[in-house]
Amino acid sequence: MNLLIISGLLIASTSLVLIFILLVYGRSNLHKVWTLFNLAVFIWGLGCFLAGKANNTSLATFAWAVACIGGYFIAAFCYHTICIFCGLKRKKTIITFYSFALLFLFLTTVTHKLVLANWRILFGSIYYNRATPIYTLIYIEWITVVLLSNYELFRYLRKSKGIKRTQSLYLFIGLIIGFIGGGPTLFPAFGINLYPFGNFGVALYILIGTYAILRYRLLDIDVVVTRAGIFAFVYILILGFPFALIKWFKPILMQYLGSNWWVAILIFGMVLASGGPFLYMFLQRRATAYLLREDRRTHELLMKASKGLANIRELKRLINLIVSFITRTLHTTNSAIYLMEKEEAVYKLEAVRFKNRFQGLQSIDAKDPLIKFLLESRNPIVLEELRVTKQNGELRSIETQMNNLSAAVIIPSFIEETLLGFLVLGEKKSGRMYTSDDLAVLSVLSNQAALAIENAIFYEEQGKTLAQQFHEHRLRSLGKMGSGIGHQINNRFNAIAMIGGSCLISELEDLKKTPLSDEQKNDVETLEKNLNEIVQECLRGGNIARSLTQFSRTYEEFKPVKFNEIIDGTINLLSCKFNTEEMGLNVEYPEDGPLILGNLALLQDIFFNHLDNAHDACMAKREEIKNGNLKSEQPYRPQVKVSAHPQSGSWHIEIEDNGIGMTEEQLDQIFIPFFTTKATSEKGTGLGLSIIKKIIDAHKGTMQVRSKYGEGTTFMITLPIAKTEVTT
Amino acid sequence: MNTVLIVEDEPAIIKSLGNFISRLGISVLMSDNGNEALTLIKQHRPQLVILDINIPGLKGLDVLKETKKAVPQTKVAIITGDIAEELREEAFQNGALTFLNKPFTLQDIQKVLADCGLIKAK
Repeated sequence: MNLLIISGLLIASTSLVLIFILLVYGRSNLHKVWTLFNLAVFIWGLGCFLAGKANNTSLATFAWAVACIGGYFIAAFCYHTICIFCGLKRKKTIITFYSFALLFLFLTTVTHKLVLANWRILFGSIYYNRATPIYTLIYIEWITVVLLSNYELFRYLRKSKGIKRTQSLYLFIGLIIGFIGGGPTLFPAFGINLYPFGNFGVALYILIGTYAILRYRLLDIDVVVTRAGIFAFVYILILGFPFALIKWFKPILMQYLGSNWWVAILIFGMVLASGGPFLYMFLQRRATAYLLREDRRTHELLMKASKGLANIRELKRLINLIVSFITRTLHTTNSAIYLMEKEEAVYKLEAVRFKNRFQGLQSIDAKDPLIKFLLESRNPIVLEELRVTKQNGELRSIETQMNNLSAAVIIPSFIEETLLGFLVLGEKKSGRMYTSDDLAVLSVLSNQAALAIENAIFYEEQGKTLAQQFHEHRLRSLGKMGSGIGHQINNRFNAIAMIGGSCLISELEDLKKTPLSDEQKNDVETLEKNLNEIVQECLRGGNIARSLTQFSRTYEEFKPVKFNEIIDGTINLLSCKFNTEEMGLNVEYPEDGPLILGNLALLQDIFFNHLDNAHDACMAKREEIKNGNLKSEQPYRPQVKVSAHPQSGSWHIEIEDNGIGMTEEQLDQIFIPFFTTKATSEKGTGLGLSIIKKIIDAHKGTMQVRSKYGEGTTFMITLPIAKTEVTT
Repeated sequence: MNTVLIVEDEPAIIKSLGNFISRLGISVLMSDNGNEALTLIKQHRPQLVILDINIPGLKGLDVLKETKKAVPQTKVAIITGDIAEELREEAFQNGALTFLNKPFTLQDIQKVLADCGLIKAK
C-alpha cells in the first residue's frame, strides 16, 4: 500500500461523483466539456491507482500509459473548458491541442516503448520510468498547455465581476492546486525523486470544483448532491452490512446455524433492502429540510404575499409593493417591474428598488429580442444559463440587454397570450444562484401579480369609465334641461319679437299718420329704431335658445341632415360660450349641398369641439406671443376657417386655425382619452378628441390632422353623403 | 268673415299673434291643444290655421292630416321650435302651406296671410 494508490483511488472516485453531477444536471456546452475534462481526471486517477499497485514492468507500463493518456486529455479539455468559460474563440488552438493529445495517445499505445521505458522502483514499491526524449517533449507540451489555460483564466478573473468572478476564482484556485499537485507526480521520471504526495491536490481540485458548483454554479445542485450522498450512504449500508457480517461474523454464525449460516445474512440483507427506501426517504427529507430551511421560509413568505396581492386595487401601490417585497425577501441587489404600454408598444419601467445601483432602461421596445424571447419561452430567463449556453446573435443581444437592466433573472407575467409585464431581479446579495425552486415560486408570484395587476388596471379603467359616464350623464341631463329652457326662452323671445313687430306695424304706423311736432317725430324715429333692435335681438336670442333644444336629441337616430343646420346650430351654441368674432371665424360651403346621413346633435358635437379647440388654440397663441414665448412678425390675428364641399360621395370638411398648434408628441396623443394640452382649469369642458373620433367613426367618416407648433392646426374630416336624397 | 285659428300652447305667442291678426280685421280663434283645435276647425272652417307642432293632446301633424281630410280648403301654416328636417318634409307632404321656424317675425305672418288672400300683399 502506498500513497499513489490511495490518491489515485480518491481522484478516480471523487471525479466520478463530479462527472455524475455534471452529467445529470449540466445543461450547457461548458458542462459537457467540463464533464470530459473530469473524465480525463478520472482516467488519470485510475492510472495512478494502477501504477501504485503494479508489481512488474508490464503492469507498470500499462498503468502509467493509462495515467498519461488521462493527463494528455486533462490538458486539452482543460484549455477547452476555460475557453468556453471565458468566452474565448480559440477554435484552432483547441483543435491543435486535441490533435497533440491524440498523437500522444497514439504514441503511448502503439509505440509505448518510445514513451515509457527504463523502469526502476522508487520509494520502496512504485515503478517509475525514466523520461525518454519523446516523454520529455510531451511533458513540455503538457506544461505549456496547462500554463496557457491558467493564464487565460487568470486574465479573465481579473476583469470579470460579480458571480462570474467568484466562479472563476474557485475554478482558478482549484486548477492551480490540481496542477501543482498532479504535475510533480511525474517528476521522478526526470530524476527528481519527489514522493507523489502532491497527487492529493488533484482530488482537492475536484473538491473545490464541486464546492464551487454547490455554491455558485448550477441551480439547486446542493440538494442534488445531498440526495446523491444520502443514497450512496444508505446503499453502502445495505450492501456493506451483509458483507461485513460475512467477513466478521461468519465463524460465529456457523457455530449456531451450521452450513445454513448464509440464511441469516440473507434475511438480514432483505430486511435492510426493504427498509432502505424508507430510511433513504426519511434521511432525504430531513436533509432537504435542513439545507433548504432558509429558502423554504422565503418561499412561504413569497407564496403568502402572492395570495394577498389580489386585494390591492391601486396599480402603482401594488407594483411598488411587489418590488420592495421581493427585494427584501430574496435580498436582491435590485429589482424592477416593467409593464406593457399598449398604445406605445413598449414595456415601461413602473417600479424600481435600489435606484442608485440600477442602471436600467426607462422603457423597452415590444420588438426587442428580449421581449420576443420571453414571449416564446414563457419561462424565466436566467443570465447565468444564457452565458453558458451556446450563443447565437440573438441570445447575445438578450445578454447585453440583461446587463443593461442589471438583471440576473427576468420573470415574465402572462395573462393568456399577453405578456403583461416582467420582473427584473438583480443578483442575490449573498452571491448565491437562483435555484429552480426560487424560479418556480417567483413564477407563481408573477402570475398572481399579473392577475392582480390586470385587476388593478381594470379597476382604474372602470373608475375612469365611471367618471366618463357621470360626465356624459351630466351633459345629457344638462342637455335635457337646456332643451326645455331653450324652448321656453325661444317662445318668449318669439312673443316679444311679435309684440315689438306688431307695435312697429300697427301702432307706430298709425302714429306716423297723425300730425306730429318735430320733437315727436324724433321720438317716433327713435322708438322705431329701438323697436327694430328689440325685434332683431329677440330673433337672435330665440335662435340661440333654439340651438339649445338640440341638446336633448337622443344620440341613436341617424337621418339626413343639412350641412347648414349643423354649422349654424354649432355657431349659435358657440356664441353662448365666447364671442365667435374674436377667433376670426369664416365658414364656406355650398348652400345647396347634399344631405349628410347622421345625427344632428352628434355632428354638431364634432364641430363644436373642433371650433372650441380652435378658439382655445388661438387664445393660447395670443397668450404665448404676449408672454414673449412665441415670435410673431405681424400683429397676431386669429383666423379659423371652416370650408366644406361635397365630392365623390362625401363631404370634405377642413377646419383650419392659425392658433398655437401642437408638437409631434402631442399629436401622437390627441386620440388618447382624457388627453389634453389645455391648462387644468379648462380641463373637462369638451368631450375630447377620442370621443369625437368615435363619433366620426360611427358616421363612417374619417378624420385626419396636421399641425405644427406655433403655426396652427388643420383637421380634415370626411362625412358620407346620405344616399337617398330627400327633396325639399 | 275671414277666420284664422291659432293653435299654440304658449300664451305669450297666442296673445301677441292674436292681437296682431285681429287688428287686421280678421276674426281670430285660439286653442292651446290639438283636440279642441280640430273641433274648432270642423265647426268654423277657418281660412287659415296657424299650427304649432308640439302641443298637448292631438299632435300638430295629426291635426294637419285631419284638417286636410275634413276641411281640405283650410290652409295650414306650421310653426315650430324644433329643428328637424323630416318634420318639414312630413308637413309639406301632408299639405301644409308653409313651415315657419321659431322665432319667426310678423313679416313672416303677414306673408302667410297675404298668401291666403286674407290681406293684401305688400
